[in-house]
Amino acid sequence: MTYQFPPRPLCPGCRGKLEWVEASGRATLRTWTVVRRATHARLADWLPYALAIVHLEEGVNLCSHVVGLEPEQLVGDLPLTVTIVRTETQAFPVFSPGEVPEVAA
Amino acid sequence: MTGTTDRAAILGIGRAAFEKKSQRMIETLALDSIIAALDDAELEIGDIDGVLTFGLGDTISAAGIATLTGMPNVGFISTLDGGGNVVVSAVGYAAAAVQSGLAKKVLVVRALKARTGKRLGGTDEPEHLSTAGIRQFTGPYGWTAYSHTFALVARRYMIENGISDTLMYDGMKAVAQTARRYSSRNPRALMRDLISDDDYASSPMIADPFRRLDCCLESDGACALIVGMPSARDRGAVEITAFREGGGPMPGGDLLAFLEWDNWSKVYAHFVAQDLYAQAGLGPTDMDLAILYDNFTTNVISQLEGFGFCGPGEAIDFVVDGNIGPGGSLPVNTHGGLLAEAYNHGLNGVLEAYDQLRDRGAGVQLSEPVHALVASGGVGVGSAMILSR
Repeated sequence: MTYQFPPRPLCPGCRGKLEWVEASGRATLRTWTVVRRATHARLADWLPYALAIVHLEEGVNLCSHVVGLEPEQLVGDLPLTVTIVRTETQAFPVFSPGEVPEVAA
Repeated sequence: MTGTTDRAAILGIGRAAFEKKSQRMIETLALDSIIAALDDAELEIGDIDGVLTFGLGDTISAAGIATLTGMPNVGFISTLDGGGNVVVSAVGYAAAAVQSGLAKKVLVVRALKARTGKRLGGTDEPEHLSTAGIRQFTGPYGWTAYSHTFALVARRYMIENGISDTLMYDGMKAVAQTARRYSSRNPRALMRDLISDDDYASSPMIADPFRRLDCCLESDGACALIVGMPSARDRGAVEITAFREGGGPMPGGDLLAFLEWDNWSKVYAHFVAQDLYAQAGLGPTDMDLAILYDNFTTNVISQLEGFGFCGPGEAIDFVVDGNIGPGGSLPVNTHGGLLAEAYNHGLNGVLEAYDQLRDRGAGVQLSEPVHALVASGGVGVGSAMILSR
């Protein structure tokens, strides 16, 4: 089974239809940058933030943030798990070291 | 010229003055560069029957340029949607057009007001928080600027090659300082002061590992060149010996947020180099200079390895040891590059290679160079060519 992200209309390999599946939430840290200067006024409150590419266990990449670690604690391929940060209107998957939290079905 | 007649050549070049903040219209800048290129090639506007330009919604279209110049007979017109990745593509397509007979003489232009007009990756442009298309997965996390994109490449390069923060710092500093060693002797350059070790250390962090001095300039200006099949009268012809564009698999559908890209320690150069050299029958050791896309210092390091001038992880020592500087084994960006001459979106680098091959470099002129590698791009997309006298 091949996973795709971001979502696309068809699997480019077999031209078959794709369906949504729930990911494990486990990933490794592919690469990151600690952003120290805001490129937009609305991002200023976040500084510094660890913008990251995480590689999901399923084999696809996600853009996210690494939270709960100091910049000097970040290392390549660090195991991470997802946490969903919710605002009034949005839900952001972010990543930190540790186990995937148990979620009631 | 190396004697072949089936390969297109650059016949002449022109520049508008580079300025930090120009008070002049972009049309004026474009015309300055075009008129200078026509004069340099000893041609009239009526000799030109093709126009190629590129931009990111920040310039005059090819049709606009044909109109602006009053071009009487146009048979080939193309505006490429792209940035650093298509600089050399524009020249390569012009060569393909004249070699195929689609046009006789093609004008390639890049006019932009990168400081007083649209600021790429700049601050407080509403589009930088856009969540259209792929950016719905990246914009909300604050991946909004090219400094972010290239920092992600730099970090993975460090991880896979075991490069420490300290070593990377030394390499990046060497690239930044080298650009100024060249630009300090180039009267066109906007930044001519040398960078001391202290200057670099105190330069503010933008997005690690980048300090401000690792990031290219924003500037206003225009560059133009003319491509045609060379004849005996074209005394300034510099041959376009080989051209290749592309990059790696799944480069991503967005020039900022390369989300699908997964060769983060490499760049386009790693994927185009072999075909480029094979086309020319030449290799890295045949190059007398290289023009590499230096939007950020680390991109020079990536391209040095991608184009085979150094092995994986070896480019840091190569630049620290002075190989890319004046008198080094492979002079790189002898005009000062985008870091120090001007940000003319890379076409100024093509013009520098041309001038070097005609022994008229404005700053440091190399001793009769024969072949120049000219490359532009980053992450998974780019273009490259070999120019030969």
